[in-house]
Amino acid sequence: MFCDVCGNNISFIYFVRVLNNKVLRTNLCEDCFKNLWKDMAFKPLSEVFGDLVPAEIKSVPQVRAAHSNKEFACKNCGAKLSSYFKDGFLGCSECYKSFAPHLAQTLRQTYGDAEYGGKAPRGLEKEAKLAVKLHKLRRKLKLYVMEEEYEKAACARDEIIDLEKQLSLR
Amino acid sequence: MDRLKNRAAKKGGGRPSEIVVASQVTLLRNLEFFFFPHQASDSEREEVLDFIWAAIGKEKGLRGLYITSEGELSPASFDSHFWDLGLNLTDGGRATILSHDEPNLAIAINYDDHLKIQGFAEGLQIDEAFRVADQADDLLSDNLPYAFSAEFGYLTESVANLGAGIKVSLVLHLPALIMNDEMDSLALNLYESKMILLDGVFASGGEVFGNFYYLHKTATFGQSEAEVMAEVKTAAEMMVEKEMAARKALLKEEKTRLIDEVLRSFATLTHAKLLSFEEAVDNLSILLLGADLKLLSKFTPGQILELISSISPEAIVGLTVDDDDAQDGLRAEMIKKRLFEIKESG
Repeated sequence: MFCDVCGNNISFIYFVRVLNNKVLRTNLCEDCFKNLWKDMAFKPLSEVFGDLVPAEIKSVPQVRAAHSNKEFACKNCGAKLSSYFKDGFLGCSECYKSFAPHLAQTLRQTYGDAEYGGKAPRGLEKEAKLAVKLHKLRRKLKLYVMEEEYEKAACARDEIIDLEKQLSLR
Repeated sequence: MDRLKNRAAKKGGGRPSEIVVASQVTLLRNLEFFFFPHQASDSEREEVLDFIWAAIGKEKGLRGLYITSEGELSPASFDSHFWDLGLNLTDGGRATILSHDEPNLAIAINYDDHLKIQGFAEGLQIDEAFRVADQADDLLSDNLPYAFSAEFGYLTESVANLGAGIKVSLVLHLPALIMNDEMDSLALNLYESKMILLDGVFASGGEVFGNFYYLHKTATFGQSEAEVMAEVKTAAEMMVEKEMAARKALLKEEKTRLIDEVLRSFATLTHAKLLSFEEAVDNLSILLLGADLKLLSKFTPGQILELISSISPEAIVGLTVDDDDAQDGLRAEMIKKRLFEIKESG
C-alpha cells in the first residue's frame, strides 16, 4: 500500500481521525505522517495515549528513528520488504503474511483482478475452497457497497456470515 | 518404462506425436515456516530434507521412493525425456527423490522451492504427466504442512510462480523450422502473446544445437492448472502444425537435398572416429527427421531418441573415461555399434 499523500513511499501508518463528524482514513508514510502531525500541532504521543504507547515511541521524531533503524522485515525469517521489491524473492511462507498488503497491491498491478483458482492441498481442500469463496465474497461486498448496490450487498453479507459460521470464524 | 509403454499401448497410442518428444509437469510446493532454500543455510536445508524424508516414510503410498546418491543417478538410466532436468546429487541439503513404482516421477528437494514434484510422459501427454505429479502431490500434502493461503494459493519462493505453482514443459523436435529460419519469429510471437518460452534443450556457448526445444510456461497468478495446461497444449499443437507444414514443404520442394542430408548424417555417425556430443546430436536429429518422414525404413524415432539419451557427456563420464578425445572416441564407437545393430535387426 502506498502513501495516500505523496504516493511515492510505502505506507506504514493507517491514520484514522474524526473531523466534523466525518471519519477520515488515510494510509501514510513516515514522512507524511510526521508532517501532518506537526501541522496539526498535537501533543506528544505519550501524553495522548499514555501507557499504551511503547516506551521507545515517545514522540514523532522517535517514531521515525525507530523505523529507519529497523526496516520492515518478516518476523519469522527476517527477510526485508526492500529485498522483495528488488528481486521478487521471499524468505519463507510467513513473509506472505508479513507483506500481505504490499503483495496484494503488486499482484493487482500485474494481474488486475485475478483471483486464485487452482487446486488446494487435499486435507485443506474443503476448507480452502470455502476460504477462497469467502475471500471473493468479501471483495464483492466492498464493490457492491461502493457501487451502492445495497440489495446485492445484503445478499453477499448474508452469504459471508453463513460461510464464516461454516469456517467457525464466528 | 515398460509400464509406461503398456499404458500408452492401452490408450491406443504408441508415440502420440513424432514432434513432441516428451511432456513434463512440475508442481512447486513449500513447507510452512521453514526458510525458502535460497534464504536457508546448508544445515537448514538438510533439516528440510530430513523432515520431508521422514514424512515420506510414514505414507504407505510413497514407500517406493528413494533418495539418489552418487553413482545411482545417471542420465543413462533415464529414458529420453529425462534430459537435463537440473536434477543433481545430494549436496547442501539438495536431493532428488525417485520412485521404484512410478518411473515417471521425480521429486527435487531444495532447488528454488522446497519441493519440485515432476511428472513425465512420452509425447504430447500433458494430462498423463500431470496425473503422475498430482498423485504424489496429494499423498505428500496429507503428510506435510504445505505453505498455502486461500488468497494467494501455493506460496512460492519467487512471487512470479505464486498461485497454482505449476510449470508445464514439452520437449519438441523442430528441425524443419530451423532449416526454414522460422524459429525466432515463432518464439517471439509465443512469448509476446502467451508468455510461453521456447528454449534450446542442448546449448553450448549460447548456440542451440540438435534442434530440440523446450516449450514451457509457468501458471501466472489467477490461472488454474487446467488453464495453463490447455494453453501449452494449444501452443504445442500450433508448433506441430507449423513443423509439419515445413516438413511437407521440404519433402515437396527439396526431397533430394533432404535425403542427401539424412544419408550424410548416417555416414558421419557410422564412420567418424571422434564424435563430440554437439556433432552427434546434430546428426542424430537429422536421422530422426529421416525416420519420422519414413526416409529410413529400418529406424524408428524411439530408437534414435533412446540413443541420444545414452551418449550425453554425463552418461559417457559415467563410463569412467576422463579425456575429451577418449570420450568422443567412445561415443563414436557406441553410436556406430548401436546404428549397425538396429540396421541389421530391422
